[in-house]
Amino acid sequence: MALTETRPGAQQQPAVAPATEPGSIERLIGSGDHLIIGRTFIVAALIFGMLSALGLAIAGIDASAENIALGGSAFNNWNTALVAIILTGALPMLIGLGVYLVPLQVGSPSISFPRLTALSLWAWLIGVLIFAVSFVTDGGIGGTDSDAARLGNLAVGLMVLALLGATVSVMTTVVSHRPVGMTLARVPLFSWSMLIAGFVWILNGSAVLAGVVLGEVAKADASGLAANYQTMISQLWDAPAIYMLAIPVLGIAGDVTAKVAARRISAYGVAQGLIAVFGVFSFGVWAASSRAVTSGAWAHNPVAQQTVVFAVWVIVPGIAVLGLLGLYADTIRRSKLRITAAGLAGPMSLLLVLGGVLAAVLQAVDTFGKGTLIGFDVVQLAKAQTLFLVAAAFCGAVGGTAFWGEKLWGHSSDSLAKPSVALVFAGGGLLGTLGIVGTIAVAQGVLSDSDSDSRVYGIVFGVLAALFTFGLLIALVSALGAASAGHADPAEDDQSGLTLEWAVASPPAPEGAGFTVPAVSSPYPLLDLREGPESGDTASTKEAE
Amino acid sequence: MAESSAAVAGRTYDTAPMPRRREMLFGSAFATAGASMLIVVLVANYLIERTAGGDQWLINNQIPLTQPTMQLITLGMSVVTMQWAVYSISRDDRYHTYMAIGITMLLGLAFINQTTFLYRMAGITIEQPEGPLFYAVTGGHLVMIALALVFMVLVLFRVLAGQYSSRMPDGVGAVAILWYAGVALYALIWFAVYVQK
Repeated sequence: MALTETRPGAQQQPAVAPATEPGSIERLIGSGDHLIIGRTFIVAALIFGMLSALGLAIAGIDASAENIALGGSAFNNWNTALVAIILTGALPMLIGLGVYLVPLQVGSPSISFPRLTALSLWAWLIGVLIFAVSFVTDGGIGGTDSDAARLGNLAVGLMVLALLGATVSVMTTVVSHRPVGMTLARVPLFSWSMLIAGFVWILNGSAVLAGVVLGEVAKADASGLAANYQTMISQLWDAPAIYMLAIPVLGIAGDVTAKVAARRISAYGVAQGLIAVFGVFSFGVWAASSRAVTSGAWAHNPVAQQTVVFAVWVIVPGIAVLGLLGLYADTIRRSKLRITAAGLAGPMSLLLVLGGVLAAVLQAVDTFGKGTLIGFDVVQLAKAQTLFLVAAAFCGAVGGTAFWGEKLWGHSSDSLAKPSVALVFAGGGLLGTLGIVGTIAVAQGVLSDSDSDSRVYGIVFGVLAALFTFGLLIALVSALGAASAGHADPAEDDQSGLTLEWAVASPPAPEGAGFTVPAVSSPYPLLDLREGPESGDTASTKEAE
Repeated sequence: MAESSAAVAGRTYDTAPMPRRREMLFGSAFATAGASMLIVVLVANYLIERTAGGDQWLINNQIPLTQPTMQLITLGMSVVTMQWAVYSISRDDRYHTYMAIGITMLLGLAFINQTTFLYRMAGITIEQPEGPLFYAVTGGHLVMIALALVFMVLVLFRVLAGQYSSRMPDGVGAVAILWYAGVALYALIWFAVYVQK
């Protein structure tokens, strides 16, 4: 019988396989929804950030106890922990917040390039796994096993590449997904700061990728890769490039301030401008250590840090932060204050940024007084600065997850977020302060390189890093607790928001379902709605006057 | 674009119309900025090493300037054909778009062929001190051009499928941004690596 013929009496419906709903794991892995990707980024970054901070604590104690705990060299342990806390914790947590919130803030039902964003998440997770394996097998950064060190080099490249992919998605969302009426001058401050940060991350991160490429092409052995790290890659966590971690924090602090004060940021354009200035001066590839492979040397050789340009370059961001602090304080001073975790995190994270600026200023002072007036250890100051900026990034990001907790998880858990923010601030701030005080004490001859002094220093360092770790642990528990509590009653949604993310349900429906955007005529469209017809930029102009 | 009314989170308000999007253009521009930075940093490192190497730099290798200059001319011509494609798609001239993209791809493939020929002529090994930087710089750029060609093939398929037109020319513009950057970077490499030697 030919296949085209139909048997008489067989006119029945063909069997259709029953539709199956994808399971939660399938949804997680196969999703291009920015809500799922953003949440996964944030939770994973909190876990890895916490583990890296723990590694930093152990590395500190280990260095003072002749490496009996971790083995290997102090250089290996310290730098691996430092790279891990930035590339597996601070940076991805900020990117996760951007992936989740930026589309909501600019009134878009989805993120640009959702598949690229999903690819970035999974590539980053694989990179983290490879990096961990590399460290365990005596690689990581500065390990002695050449194969494992090469694996670590590759993992750094993969993590940076993945994070840059997600950054491109977030930036493109800000630029091309805005509704009519939302000019760049009306973009919420967090989204604006992510756009600025994205430019800097792409430029600084690509320079790191160049270092990774060179390490791979040269087929360098373990010591060659350690040299390559010192000259090409570590610039990312030295001044001024390390400022780049704090750019989104400035935006988070601005959005928190406006909502806590329930009023517009006066001189909004100036605030945007100051964030942009801070971003421009976070470009730091030019200050990378000079490469000295031909001469055979691989010691840290911070030539650029001994110039006047460096001094100016690292001080200007401090002026921008002070300006923003002034603007935010001016917004808050006429309002009735309510102490929340996010409200605390804003000023605290800006103070941590200023701590980082102080460390950079001391490096600049060292520039002018080298060998005559002052003899600071520039490398130690750079470490202190890195710790300040990493702490600022985490403090801002943890405060941000508390601030937008209702949108992120369906519930906010301010009671747990407050101690978390306080511990991250105290732990991170004291770690940075310890670095500065220790450097000055050594320069003044109060502290020496003796075993007993080093031991005390290492133990104090470990305790403070443990405090910081505990803060991140509480933030993780808080986030998981809020996420597992289920969806809040829609009637209890926070109605006091000023920007578009507060117009969607808590948490937002997946894939942008039921998403509508109000007409935008100022940076605060929901405030305009509440204030009536004479609002928008007209109102903000009057307020500024 | 008329506005409509909608209710969200208990409020009713006018909904804003969504503008025409240019996300491919911006996405391509941002990714191109990253790729360009990578190549520029590699070139900078090449120059630092070359300065440190002094008279001994590439002393055992012969790199004639004729070949790299021909490559520059090849890529220079492709700028014209790439712009021809952008011009044609924005005027719905599909025939010329196909032809322009096709010729651009041909010139790109010719450039790759010329580069492999140059590698054989120069005879630089990865083991010699100059090798890693030379191949990182020129090889990195070669990969960029190859990726741009793959991107161009995908865009060509979409043009054939009718997805791009004067109303939505973003794909062709996006690949053009990457291509122009690739050509500009080759001009930099031509001067820094081949002219300066």
